Amino acid sequence: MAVEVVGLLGIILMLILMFLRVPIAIAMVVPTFLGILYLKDWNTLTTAVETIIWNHSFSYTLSTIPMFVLMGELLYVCGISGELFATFRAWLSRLRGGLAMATIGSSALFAAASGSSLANTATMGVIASKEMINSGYNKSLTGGSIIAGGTLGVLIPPSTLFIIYGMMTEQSIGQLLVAGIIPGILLMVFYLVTVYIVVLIKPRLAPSIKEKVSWKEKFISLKTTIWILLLFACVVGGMYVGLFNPTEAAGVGAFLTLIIALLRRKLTLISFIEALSSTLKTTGFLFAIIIMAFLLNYFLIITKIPFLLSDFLNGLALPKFALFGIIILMYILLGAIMDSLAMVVVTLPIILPLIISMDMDLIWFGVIIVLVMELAMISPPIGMNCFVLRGAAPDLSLEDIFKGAAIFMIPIVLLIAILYLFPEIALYLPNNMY
Amino acid sequence: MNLFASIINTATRFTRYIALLVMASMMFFITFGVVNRWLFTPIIGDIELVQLGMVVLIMCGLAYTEQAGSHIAIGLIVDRFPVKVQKIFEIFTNLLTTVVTLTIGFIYIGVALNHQNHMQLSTGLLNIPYYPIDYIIVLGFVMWGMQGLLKLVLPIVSIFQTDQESRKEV
Amino acid sequence: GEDESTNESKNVSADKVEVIELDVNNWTSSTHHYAYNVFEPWKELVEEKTDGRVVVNIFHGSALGKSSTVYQDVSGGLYDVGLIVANYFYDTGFFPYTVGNLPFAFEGPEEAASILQEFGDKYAKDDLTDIVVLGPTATDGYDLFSTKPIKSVADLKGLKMRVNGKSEIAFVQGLGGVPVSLATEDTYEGLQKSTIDTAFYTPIGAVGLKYFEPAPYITKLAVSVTPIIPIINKDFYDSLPADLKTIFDEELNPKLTELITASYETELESSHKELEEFVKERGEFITLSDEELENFRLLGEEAWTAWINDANDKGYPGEEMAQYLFELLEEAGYPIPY
Ligand code: NA
Ligand code: NA
Repeated sequence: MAVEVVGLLGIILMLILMFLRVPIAIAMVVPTFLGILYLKDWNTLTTAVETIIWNHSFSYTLSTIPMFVLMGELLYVCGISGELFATFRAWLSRLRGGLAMATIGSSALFAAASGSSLANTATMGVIASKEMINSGYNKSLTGGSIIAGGTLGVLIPPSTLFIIYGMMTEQSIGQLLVAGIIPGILLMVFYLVTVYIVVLIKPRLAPSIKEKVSWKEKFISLKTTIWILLLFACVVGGMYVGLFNPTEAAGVGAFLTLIIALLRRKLTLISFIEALSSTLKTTGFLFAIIIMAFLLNYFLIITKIPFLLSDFLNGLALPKFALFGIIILMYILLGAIMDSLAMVVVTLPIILPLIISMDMDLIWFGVIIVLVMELAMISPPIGMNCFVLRGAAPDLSLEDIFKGAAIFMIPIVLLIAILYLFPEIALYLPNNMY
Repeated sequence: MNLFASIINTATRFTRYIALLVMASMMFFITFGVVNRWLFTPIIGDIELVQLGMVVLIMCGLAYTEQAGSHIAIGLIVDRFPVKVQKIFEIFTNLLTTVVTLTIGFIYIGVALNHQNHMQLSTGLLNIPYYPIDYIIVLGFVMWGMQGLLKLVLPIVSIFQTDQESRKEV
Repeated sequence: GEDESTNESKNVSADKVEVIELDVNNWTSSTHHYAYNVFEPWKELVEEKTDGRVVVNIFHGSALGKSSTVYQDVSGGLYDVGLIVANYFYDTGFFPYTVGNLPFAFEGPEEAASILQEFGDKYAKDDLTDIVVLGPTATDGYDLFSTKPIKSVADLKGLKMRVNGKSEIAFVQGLGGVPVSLATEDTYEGLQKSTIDTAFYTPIGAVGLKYFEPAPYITKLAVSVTPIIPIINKDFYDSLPADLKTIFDEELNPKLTELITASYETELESSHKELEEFVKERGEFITLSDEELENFRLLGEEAWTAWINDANDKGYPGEEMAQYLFELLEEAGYPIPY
């Protein structure tokens, strides 16, 4: 059997296992083990296991991930996410669609201090869904705005996805994180505009709210946001001006969040352990996937499939934008049926040679990859954010959520197109880092 | 059966709290390192200590993640089957998880023994030998495998259990 | 003898001669001088000399493994050919080669290649039986890349200096810096993110890796070289038919070492010029006075003492090894370090 065929069979087996509800990490490593044993031998397998597990756990860079996740969890247990939503509600609720906008706005701000999109969705989901449904908002609009807001968690720094991408492509993680700022703000604005247009066309989706909030109350409500902005300034700002590296930024960020939680007298030993435990669960599944994905990558590389595919695509001799379009289309299709992280860790080694041969900037492409991952997170039938929201907000059915999510895919695709035409939007900040 | 379950779960709780302790310590240590660098001099080997912490954190978190059912899986198709059929899929899934993780654990025992007895590698600055770290990796994967085994055995037991027996247990 | 000849005749009699694939892992990028000066020409040579019976696959960018695990990866069969950076394997049988990394041991790769060969044959070869060790060579002399201008030993006080392995620690401490251990692939980001303030690095390598971007102050020191040892997987080598084995032994293996040596020799001069040009506006290219250079040289002795102690701890005859190296250097007419 040709090595390429072995690789292809491996990929098929992996997909079958994934759809049989085998955990993604295990689904990736079963064909890897069989493939390496078939193509090489037990000795090679043990060496691959030895050095790949070592290199991706005994790692300084990757310690950024648990620290950034911990920041978000600590903010959640000390009640900041709820107060953020209240702030935005105070300012926006009188607008038509104001609660949906408040959901997106508070998600964006929460994203500035949290590294994970799933945590973002779960956190805002509990609070926002109750308020929106009680106010008579349409369930699809409710679900859609929450999961859309959740995706901002990984585009606006800090972000676990940028760290994983940076590690896989050996790009500067600091530059990647900073590259997400402007596109993140833009995407938030696009989401808000989407809500505005949707409500303009179908006003009954979002009943207007009569409640009147005085200016004094509005300004008092701003004080929670100051914590977040302060954190963002310390963590991302400190990294931007070169006070510390991303790992240090994450550690210091988690520590400062702990101090904020203590100052607000909302932190008990039990809630601290709760925050640590949630972080541990996220770390556990992320690293299981990361480690197994690198084992899978070794297997795929010795089957030469990455080179074959990129040679094929290069051989088409398409103009650059068409090739780029094909790549994005491929990711949208894959993203429908795959977990976003699994999708990227499996395909990146295949796509990367192509991107490099097209002379595209790898920092810029990191932002694009995070955007296609966001699409994957919210597109049916496999959209992790939607599943998480379903768990956090039992009032919403999966159908409601997916229906609402579909609308918010448009601004993401639009942003990808804009970034293709104006890469400077993503590259301006990282190129001007200290 | 109950004894097996309680041993595994106690051990998992133990590794979980080690991981939580290490996570909190890493947060304090990294901050301490930064402040120390600003005010005094950098700590020698700070990076190696964080790396070591990461191994403990990841490995001691794997079993807890399995126990909490947090390893990401796609339930789209299997979720639509009747509960009995789902149980069969579950047995298959947990069998794979157990076999794979125990295999990795077994491989890493070999790695640890090699690093202990032959290729005695250690870290560059603090001379921390690799082999104890290797055993932490062994522990992580074996514990994950044990949680998988527990989840493998439970549905099998429940299939053969009559309703009466399960009522008695309650 | 007999088995091999039957294998051979089988291969020849069959219509299709079996093609042997040889996987090379380049832990530098596809644009590094290893790629175009070493691996690509070697691939051509191998395929030409073996009449296409051996096909070489080059994997760039650490695709098959990192530089820190080459020994494990090659002996375990993840790939067939890799380059050992001796310092990363201080705790293994490659230890004797790390003598080359001591301050002012060698001035350049040609000198290192000729001396290390004899040195390694005497002290290292016998312990390295699980892989095939090719001729050792070394990089060009390391200069100091820094985020701040370094014009004297005093300027280094308290700076976080990247060390490439245990043998550099004593030297860095002697200079008054704080040693920080980082892999080569993490160095750029380390300089950029102030995990480290300085790094000793080959000027040639530094051009490709753009260390002058985060560290635009370059002090010309040629402080030490890094021994590089190409190795081949043993099973792969043993499975070669006898005639191919001869070709590898006599031509291809020595050629790989020569290509590395030549790559460093030829590129050094142009690199220095390029670096000078690059840092003109944002930093400085610093040449030390003889006096100041002598200060660096004297502080190097501590590193030699530490290495000799380590050697003794590992069961090698430390003093004898250093003495033997000095004899080899003197015989060949090279200066001795201190
Ligand atoms: Na974020
Ligand atoms: Na999807």
